[in-house]
Amino acid sequence: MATYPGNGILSINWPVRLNSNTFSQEGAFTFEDPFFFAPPVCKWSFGGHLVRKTYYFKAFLLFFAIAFSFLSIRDGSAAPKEGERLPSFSLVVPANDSYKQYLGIREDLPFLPTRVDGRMLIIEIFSMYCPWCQKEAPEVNKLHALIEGNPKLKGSVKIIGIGAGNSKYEVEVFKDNYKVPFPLFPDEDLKIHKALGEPMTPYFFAVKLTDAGDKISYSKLGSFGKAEDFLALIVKLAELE
Amino acid sequence: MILIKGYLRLTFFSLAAVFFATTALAGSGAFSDKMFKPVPMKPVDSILKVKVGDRAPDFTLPSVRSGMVSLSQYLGKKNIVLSFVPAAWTPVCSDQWPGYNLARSIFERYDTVLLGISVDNIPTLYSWTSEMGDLWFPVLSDFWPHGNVASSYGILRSNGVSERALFVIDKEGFIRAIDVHDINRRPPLEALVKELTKLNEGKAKTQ
Repeated sequence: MATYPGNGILSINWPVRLNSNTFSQEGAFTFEDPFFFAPPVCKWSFGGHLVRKTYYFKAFLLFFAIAFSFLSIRDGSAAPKEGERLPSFSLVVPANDSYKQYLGIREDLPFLPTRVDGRMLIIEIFSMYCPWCQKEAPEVNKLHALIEGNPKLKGSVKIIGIGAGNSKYEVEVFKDNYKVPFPLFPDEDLKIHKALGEPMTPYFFAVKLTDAGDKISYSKLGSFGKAEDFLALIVKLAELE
Repeated sequence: MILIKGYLRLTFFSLAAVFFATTALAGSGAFSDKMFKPVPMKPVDSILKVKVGDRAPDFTLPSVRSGMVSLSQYLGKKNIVLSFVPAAWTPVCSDQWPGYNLARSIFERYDTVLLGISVDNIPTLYSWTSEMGDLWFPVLSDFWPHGNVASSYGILRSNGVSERALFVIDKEGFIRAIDVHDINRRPPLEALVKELTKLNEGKAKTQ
């Protein structure tokens, strides 16, 4: 796409053409026209004025339509968005009893994440190999501490992590290094990662759990910022106050 | 006719503009977002010139932050893991070293140093590894003569990059394990750690 020298709005020579009047010789519209995206009322807009106006309109429509479709693909790939339900995938019950208690899972069969006991489930997609996830780890721990330290939130907001492409061993390395207090699940074969639309990492979902079903209320790539601010947002989204 | 041609161009330029716009806008997120997306490559494209039990070919290479580094400077002191990655700025190896960075205590437990090596030049390696945070291990440039060290181990691919390969070398300088991995995949950490464990077992036996 980039190999189209000398033409269009992206070309480096259009300011040069701006000062010449060569483009106006025909008086008709060409797409090498440096005023392609200029307001239709600009003083150079002579001849073919109406045609040009239509083009502007359509160009902008097309531009934004494509821009948004690209953005949704690029920013977090095909991950489910706010308002959607969490795609179905199952988790293996952790061996650790305190985790089972935290999650409110009694039996040892694989369980759906939406069965976790609570009103809001935060899911972090991470990788032990991802430097951004490493940087984010202390802040996620802090979020967990803030929740557990607040009697109103403890029991209502839960956090789990899913190690995309990480083996059990690799997840343990991550857990040990950062002393992660909440359950982390390995996803070595990327099955869960695939079910969640193959997001880049770190990626955070917050899923509202109600008797009527589940609903994603936060779905975003990258750091959630400060733990305090994110928690305030979560509380608002979960309507916990 | 002019109109149709115009519309085609319109579409083209809109796409081009959007491509650049989104490249700029979406650069806010994770590391991998800025990464080149490679197509799958032939898993292995070279013939090993060394085998387990051989003395590891010595080398001296410039490192990103610690001057010239030789394999021989660790002899008698540390076990060594050589981690060759194909090239900077490719997703799988952007992954690999930050993971090893986190696993520092494991390497230290087995009295092992890690040397990361690629065929890129120092400025490229500097920029690339800066994105990974502070690495505790030296990163060496096998840039010139191009891929000379990779070639001496028999892991230089036909297109000039190296394999994604791990060599475990003991304190006496002998190769104890080799993993020329599928270039498209990341070797699991536990496989390497298993070799490090064996290293110490082997040593215990000989003592």
